[in-house]
Amino acid sequence: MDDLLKTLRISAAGMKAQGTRLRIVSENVANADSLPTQPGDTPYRRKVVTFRNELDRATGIDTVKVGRIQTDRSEFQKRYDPSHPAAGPDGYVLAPNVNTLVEMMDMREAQRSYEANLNVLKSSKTMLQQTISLLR
Amino acid sequence: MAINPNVNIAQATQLYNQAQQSGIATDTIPAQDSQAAGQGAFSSLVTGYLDQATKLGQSSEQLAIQGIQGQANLTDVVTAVNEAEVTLQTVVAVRDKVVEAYREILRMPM
Repeated sequence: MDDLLKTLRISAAGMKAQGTRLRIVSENVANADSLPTQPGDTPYRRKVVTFRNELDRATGIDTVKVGRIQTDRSEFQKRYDPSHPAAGPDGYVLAPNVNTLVEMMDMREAQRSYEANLNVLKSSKTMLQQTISLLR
Repeated sequence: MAINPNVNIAQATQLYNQAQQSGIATDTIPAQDSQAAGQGAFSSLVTGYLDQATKLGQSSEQLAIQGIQGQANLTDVVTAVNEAEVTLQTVVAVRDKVVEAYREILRMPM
């Protein structure tokens, strides 16, 4: 298969990976307030997405794939709320370890990477079409 | 670069035979199967590209149907449709050139 056509596939794989990253960011942001329901439970744990390089055997190209979606092992935050059903004896409730600012920056990074991959795809498509226009 | 007049005639004949078999020198071939061999290189190129075009077209159709049903990834659908479009444009351009060449030959006065 032509190298420029392979470029289309590689850029598409990159775009898919950034799409998954954005989905994880949205899960984190939406669950930033998911407190536990009972005193002994843990709240929502922040998820982190990892990418890995994979060699596609059929076409021989290095694509990117989403590795395992792992959880962030950092400490839970604590909120003081004695009236909450899951409050401990000291009045603190464990809150998810999601920092909304960090998630917003991650979202912008995912968007920029997506746009970069999209630009590569557009330029390779333009190059292909200009080559074909030589025949006209 | 001076032309070497002492070129080995045996070497030249051998190279010409090789060129005949690979289908490049088709103007002086009298036999019919050699004619087929002469067209073989270009036509196999074109048929190979046509096969790839049909395969890409079919896979892009399947992905488009799955996309409408909501099962396929949008990026996959867009990439497959792009690939099929580019390949189809190539095939159409090559076909136009071949037909134009055929017409040009037909127009040659006897």
